[in-house]
Amino acid sequence: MSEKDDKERREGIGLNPLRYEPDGKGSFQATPKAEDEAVNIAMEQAWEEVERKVDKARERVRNGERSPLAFFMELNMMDPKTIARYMGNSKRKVKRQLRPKGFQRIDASTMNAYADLFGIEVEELRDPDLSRTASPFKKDP
Amino acid sequence: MQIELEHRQAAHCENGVASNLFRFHGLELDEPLIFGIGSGLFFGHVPFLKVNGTPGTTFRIFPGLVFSRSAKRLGIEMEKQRFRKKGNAMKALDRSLEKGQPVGVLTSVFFLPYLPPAYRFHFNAHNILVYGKENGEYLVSDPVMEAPTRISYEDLQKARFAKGTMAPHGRMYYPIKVPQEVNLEKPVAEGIQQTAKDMLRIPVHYFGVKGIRFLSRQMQKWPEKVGERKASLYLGNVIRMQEEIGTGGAGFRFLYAAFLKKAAGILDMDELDDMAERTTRIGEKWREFTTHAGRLCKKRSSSEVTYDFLAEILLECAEQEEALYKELRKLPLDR
Repeated sequence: MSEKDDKERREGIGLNPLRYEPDGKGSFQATPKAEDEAVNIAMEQAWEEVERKVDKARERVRNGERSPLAFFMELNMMDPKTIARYMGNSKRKVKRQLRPKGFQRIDASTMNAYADLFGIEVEELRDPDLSRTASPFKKDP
Repeated sequence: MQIELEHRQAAHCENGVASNLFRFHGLELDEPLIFGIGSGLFFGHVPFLKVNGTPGTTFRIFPGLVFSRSAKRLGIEMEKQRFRKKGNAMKALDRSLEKGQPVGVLTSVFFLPYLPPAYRFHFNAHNILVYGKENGEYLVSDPVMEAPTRISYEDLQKARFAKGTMAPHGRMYYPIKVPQEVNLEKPVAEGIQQTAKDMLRIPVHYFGVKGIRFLSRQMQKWPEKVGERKASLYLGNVIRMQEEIGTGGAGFRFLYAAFLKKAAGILDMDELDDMAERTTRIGEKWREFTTHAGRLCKKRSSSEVTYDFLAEILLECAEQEEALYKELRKLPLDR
């Protein structure tokens, strides 16, 4: 990943946060924010944590302990409670569907709703590309 | 269809949307003024309100309040709506746009494709201004962006109906009556009084100056209570709340100093110039905190920077802020 790519992923294009800095003469200038070391560390650390959870889910899906739903849940930084709210389901039902057996029993319309929530096709939900990562910083595993 | 709207960037989304929206209706107020009149400055540390698994910390008042407080003080009448059905929310938006009315819309950052991926966490209280529709796409003035942008119908609908903490429920708002001439003295004075009160008088230890001291105490316990890794994540969250996009730096303290500077002119009070100076120094103290905190996050356990050391800086912030608000409260601000 080149330095430029990295900067773009971090800051995007056209996102140049403003910051109010004292100019030393008792006045303030709203200027584009300078690179902030502490924020960068905090941000990368937060993404590492997301990625740690995705890694864990990926392993468990590969081992057949969890359904693909668990992988997409972590990839989208959600939890069973949030998913239940989106789906209008109970948390218990979502938790059941995180297990392979429960996943098999999901009906077609619910599958569509899940796919829509995660912005993927139903086929991908059934047969996920487990190499996907959530973090914009991390290279392919 | 496209409404003529001047897009101006702002540090924070709510101030920015308010400022851009009021300007469209003929009332020119910049970001620091909106923030100050709306009493946006605050502090809160509420450990049981978890954000992505870390205790919630905020440097500003609850979402929506800057808007409602500033509108009320400026004599602006707002129309606010929330929806149960997604389709109705989009139709109502279209109807307003057809009338030539730009609309403030509450969204989740997670579903805004034009934002860089690194910022797309689940944050449900992001304000954007929608000012037109073209070929099925909405024209968006997002104050954190340099230039206006676009979003598809589907994405906007998703963003407006995100679920979870502070779910937006399709909320939208626009002014229906905006006075063309406003004497700013009273709104500015009231804004200052309320901020001082919010920071000193809320009888719950999560909020205001008490909240800063509470965070300081909590922070010392983190490594033991949750382990080094999680403690570092908790600390990282405080850094991000304080310095990431939206705050204008130093947890809104610099933005507030800029407001006090303007207030000094509007109210013709030299004392407020001094207060602005002091707020700047307080902001610099907060910056000192994050600089050290960043180092601790990077090294995890380090001998130079410890949680106790950081907690000490926070106590200094608390002390300086307390003195400042106490003096602000003593100023003759009744208009």
